[in-house]
Amino acid sequence: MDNPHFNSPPITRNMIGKRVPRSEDAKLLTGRGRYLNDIDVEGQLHACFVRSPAAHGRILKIDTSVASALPGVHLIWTSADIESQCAGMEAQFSADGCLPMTMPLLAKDVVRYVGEPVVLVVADSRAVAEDACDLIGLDLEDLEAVLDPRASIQGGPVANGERPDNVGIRGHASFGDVDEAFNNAAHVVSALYHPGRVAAAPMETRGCLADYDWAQDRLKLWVSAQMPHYVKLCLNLYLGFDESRCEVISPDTGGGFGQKAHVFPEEMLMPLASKHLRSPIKWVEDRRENLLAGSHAHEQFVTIEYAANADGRITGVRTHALVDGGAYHMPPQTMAVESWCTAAVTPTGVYDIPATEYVYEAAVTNKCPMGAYRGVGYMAGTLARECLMDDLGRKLNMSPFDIRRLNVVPEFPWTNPQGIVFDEGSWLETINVLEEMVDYPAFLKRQAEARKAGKYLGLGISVFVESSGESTGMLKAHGMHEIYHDTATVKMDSSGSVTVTSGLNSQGQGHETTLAQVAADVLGVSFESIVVDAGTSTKGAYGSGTVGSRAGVIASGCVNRAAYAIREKLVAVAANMLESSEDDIVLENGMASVAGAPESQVSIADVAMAIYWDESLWPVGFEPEMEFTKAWDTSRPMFSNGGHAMIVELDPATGFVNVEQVFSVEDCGVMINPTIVEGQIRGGVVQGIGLGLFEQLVYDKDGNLSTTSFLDYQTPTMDVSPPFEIRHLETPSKISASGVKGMGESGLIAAPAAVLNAVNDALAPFGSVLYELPATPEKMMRAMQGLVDLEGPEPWSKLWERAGVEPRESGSMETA
Amino acid sequence: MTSTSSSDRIEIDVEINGRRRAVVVNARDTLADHLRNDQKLTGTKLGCEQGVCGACTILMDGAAVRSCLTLAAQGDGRSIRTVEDLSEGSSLSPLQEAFKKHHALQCGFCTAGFLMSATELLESNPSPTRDEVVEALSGNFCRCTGYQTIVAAVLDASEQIGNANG
Amino acid sequence: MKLPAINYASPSSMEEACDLLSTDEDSKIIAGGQSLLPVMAMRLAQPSVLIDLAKIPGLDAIEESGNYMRLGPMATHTSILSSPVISKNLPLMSAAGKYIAHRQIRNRGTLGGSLAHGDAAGEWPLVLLALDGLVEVQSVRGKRTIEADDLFVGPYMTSLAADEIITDVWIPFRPRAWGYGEFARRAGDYGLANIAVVLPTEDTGTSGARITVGGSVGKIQRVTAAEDVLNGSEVSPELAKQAAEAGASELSYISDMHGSAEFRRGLVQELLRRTIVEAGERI
Repeated sequence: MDNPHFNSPPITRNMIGKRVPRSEDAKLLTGRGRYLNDIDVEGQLHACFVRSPAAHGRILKIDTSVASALPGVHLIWTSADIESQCAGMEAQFSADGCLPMTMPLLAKDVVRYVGEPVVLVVADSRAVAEDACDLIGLDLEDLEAVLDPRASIQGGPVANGERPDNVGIRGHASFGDVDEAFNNAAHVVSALYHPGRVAAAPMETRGCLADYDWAQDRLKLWVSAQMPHYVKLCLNLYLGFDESRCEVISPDTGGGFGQKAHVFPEEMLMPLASKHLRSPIKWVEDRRENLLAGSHAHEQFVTIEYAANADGRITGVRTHALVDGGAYHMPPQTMAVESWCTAAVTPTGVYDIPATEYVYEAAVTNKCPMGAYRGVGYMAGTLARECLMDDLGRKLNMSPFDIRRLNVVPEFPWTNPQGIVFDEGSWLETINVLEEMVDYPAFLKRQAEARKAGKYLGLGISVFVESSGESTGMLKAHGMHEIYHDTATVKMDSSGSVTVTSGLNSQGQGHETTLAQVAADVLGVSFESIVVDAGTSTKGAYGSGTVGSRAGVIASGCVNRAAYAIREKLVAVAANMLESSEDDIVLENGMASVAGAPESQVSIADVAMAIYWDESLWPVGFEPEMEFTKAWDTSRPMFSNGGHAMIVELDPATGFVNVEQVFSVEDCGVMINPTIVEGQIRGGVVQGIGLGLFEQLVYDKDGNLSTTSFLDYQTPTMDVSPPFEIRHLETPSKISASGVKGMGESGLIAAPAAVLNAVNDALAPFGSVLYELPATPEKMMRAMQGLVDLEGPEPWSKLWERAGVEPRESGSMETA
Repeated sequence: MTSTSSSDRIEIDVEINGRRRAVVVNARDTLADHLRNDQKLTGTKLGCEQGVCGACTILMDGAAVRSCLTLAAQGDGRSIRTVEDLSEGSSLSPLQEAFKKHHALQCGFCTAGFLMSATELLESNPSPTRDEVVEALSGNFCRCTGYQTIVAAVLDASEQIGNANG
Repeated sequence: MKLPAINYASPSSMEEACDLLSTDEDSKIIAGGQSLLPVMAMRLAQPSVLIDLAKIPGLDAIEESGNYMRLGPMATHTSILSSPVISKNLPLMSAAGKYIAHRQIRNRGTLGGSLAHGDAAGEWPLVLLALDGLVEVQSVRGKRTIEADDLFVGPYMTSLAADEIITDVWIPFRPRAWGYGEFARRAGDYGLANIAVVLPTEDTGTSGARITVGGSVGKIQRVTAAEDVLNGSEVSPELAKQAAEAGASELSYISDMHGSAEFRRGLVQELLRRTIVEAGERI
């Protein structure tokens, strides 16, 4: 199917590609940004939650009597007060084997993770609401806490009665002749990788402000969210508000990174409470709540096996991805965002591997639900794929560059075993450029000398291909039936200035600037004449969410189409005014001129003025619209690619690992604004260093989260963040506006693998290989002593059988 | 003013961004709460309320402090500067310009804290080394930028201010 | 994460402060507040009244007094770090103070607050104990002095009575060799291990080494087994190694998400060795 909204009219580049300083910055640098908690509505009240102190328990009694009597307390709700209004949020993803689960707005009868909301309190101030929460008695009967996903996925004590077997997702698939690959393999390598549990931890926590106006039956909801239109839909689906009576407003947002790409119980409760109390109600979570209940991310157990021929060419890959899913599906993402994506999307990467099979599973446990965080599924999959590649290289005594060059896809288009077509890429060149950037021979020499002096340097590389611009085409390629829906509105005033409204809001990515660059080039007007409203209200254009590295591609595609429609109007009237053919009209630098006759010109502002106010200048039959809303989407997936190399130094006395330098190669096609692209790379890579070396959410043996502050949950600080060298390659997309590709997640997708490979290179003299992250000093000390805590992978036959597939006679189970 | 008896409402006399104000504050309110809620100076952000992330950094008598770890009552007799006071007229200060030039902010939530910490640094040490910048700003967390552009911006601002002062 | 309801008072004299503190057993002194306020924000402490010492004159002194440095309890970490007399007379203090949290905390946090808080991971308690200092305290019952050896009694526990306030901190200065070290992954983090070492020199006039440890062991204490190895012998790298081994095996360690007891023992041993060598080089 080739719908008109898949088209990308051609653009003559002028502003696209320039390092334009961001138009957002002046506001944000002077304290004039307006974030959720900076917005007050007259008469607003404040919410706070009593959250479960236990991982798993039956609610025997909730005593609110003392709290109710506290002056300034206006509402106390438990599940009983709201269940008739909303039975909870059901989430299910259309991946095969994803089973539905319902998250209650407030825990009913049973609490299932520490931090789960149990009681809502609304009071005059947040402080008084917290006072009241302290006075509420919660009587629980302990139930067995299910905390080990590798045990719970096999049954036993139940974490959530809705899934009595503890299975949130289970599915599998096989493409190509995997058995033959493994039966005939000269080498089989396998490993079990375990990236730890982390949190996106945006600097601004979650929050919302609901203001229900009973007189007009209108709801305004300000929310710090990446998918405001979906939040609006949920107001209808879960709470019964007419969407037309709801406005969801996205103020300036202090980072999201996927965490805000969910719909949370708290965001559904504020509208209900506001309607009930007829008062605006604000909820802004504190950091402790954010770490306890804001959604966790990325923890998986990934088993991967390569079959390779004698030369080291990989002939087959098997992947088993198990996510520790927590107590519920986090709506709407579900546990599938991690394990399904890892297993189904990432195994072949940039490598020409003809056969793949996989199993994905999600274990229900009594922990905070697993949600989205930059590079969902891709991070763990890239970690497993790229680190096992190094294992294979070590086994064959090949450099990390050589083993990758041997296996990389040589030419395009390339179709992977699942039948997904990759139109273009610079996959081989990425490896070559990285090798040149790190000056590999010089590094080897420096490493050898350092080792003699008792210093341990390591070099790690990781190359990736990233789904660029999550689109309908991408979903269909993976067999999903859902589609995306995104629009932009472009309006030119009679004086020629332009307003662009995108349905995709920004959490810091700079849409206000980049979309103005695109619109300026489509219309041939100046950057300064364009004002962008990047998804600040659902009253504007529609958006499926700023997720999946899509906003740059999808929003610019929509803006291109909407601006192009205005362009056609300008061209028609200009041609009439200049007595020329429409084909010869050029729009550039604010002027409409005739190609080859530049003296024959009129300003675009004058053309706009004519369209609004002077019928005499119109061609026959002209329709004078100067405001268009257009959708854009892709019918085929597109992919960006790149790689990172890292040099680390291991201190053998303490186990501390320091990242000395990062080298990044990025190919996201045509860049709208290279400065913003580089910002995305650095930020994502440093988050990857956090995951690789520092960050770890730790549950104790009873299921209490031990890491509930920034003292204990340790994100990278300036002193541990390395310098970067970044190179750009440019392989334009053939289907997007101007050839751009998405790249917002690439840093976090691939950096952890580079960290682990670098760490393992540093550990090489000790004969140890680490398979889990973060590489804490203690793990490093143990590895230097030859002690490794993570047991090896389970046999593939067992994993395959658990997925519901009959055991087969063929297929090698041996491991290297 | 001093008091020998305690109260939950405290009168303070405080200078905020050059203006003296006599106000009554809640004993339990932090200076951050007071600036944001009572003075409506919302440029100062709260990222953790535990004194770790640095988003709430302001200047008190010229020294960078965490306004989430300072009681509003402790502002009595002090001079407070917040991010709202950094720009010069309707143009950005050299430090702010440098942040813009180097893309030293993305979401902007941590930015005020960085600017205030960097302001203290540059006022006490106009030509800091790279290490001194890192030392002074390691108590400010950023989740977007990866930090290197912030270091570059502060070093560049130091040079610009030095050049302007001849 | 808002502070619980409290009252606040800012007395103008130490006598008034002592009166207030003795009147209400749930009242608490606030100096810089950098440790107290987070604990209150997490609702782990809920004092009835905070008694602020900021308005009492003269509590931020940093001065020489005979063979002692006298420091007021309200001297901030920054003022100590930027004091020329401190860096001249008590270089160990300057070296250790750099590890205290971040600049913004050092600008507000105080010496008296840090000592009274008694956090084992804190730098000042370790330094006071290593340098054989003492504190003068006052209450409505009168004044007394507490030697550093008697001040720190357990995790977050000091021998200060609930109604007592530190009024002065006295630290003797005389020629001594010193070393200080701390292992922290990120600047400003609580150290996974921290060690202060003070060794006598020919001019010191006292004979004993004083080695103190905090971070990894949950309690501010001297490492007597290491001191015993060093006392009476000339410091050498080999002796430092022996002392570190003896010291590390004497201690018992905390275990938490940042490191097991076994791991921390290794860090403490390595840090003991390094700081003893560092001090030895200054003899």
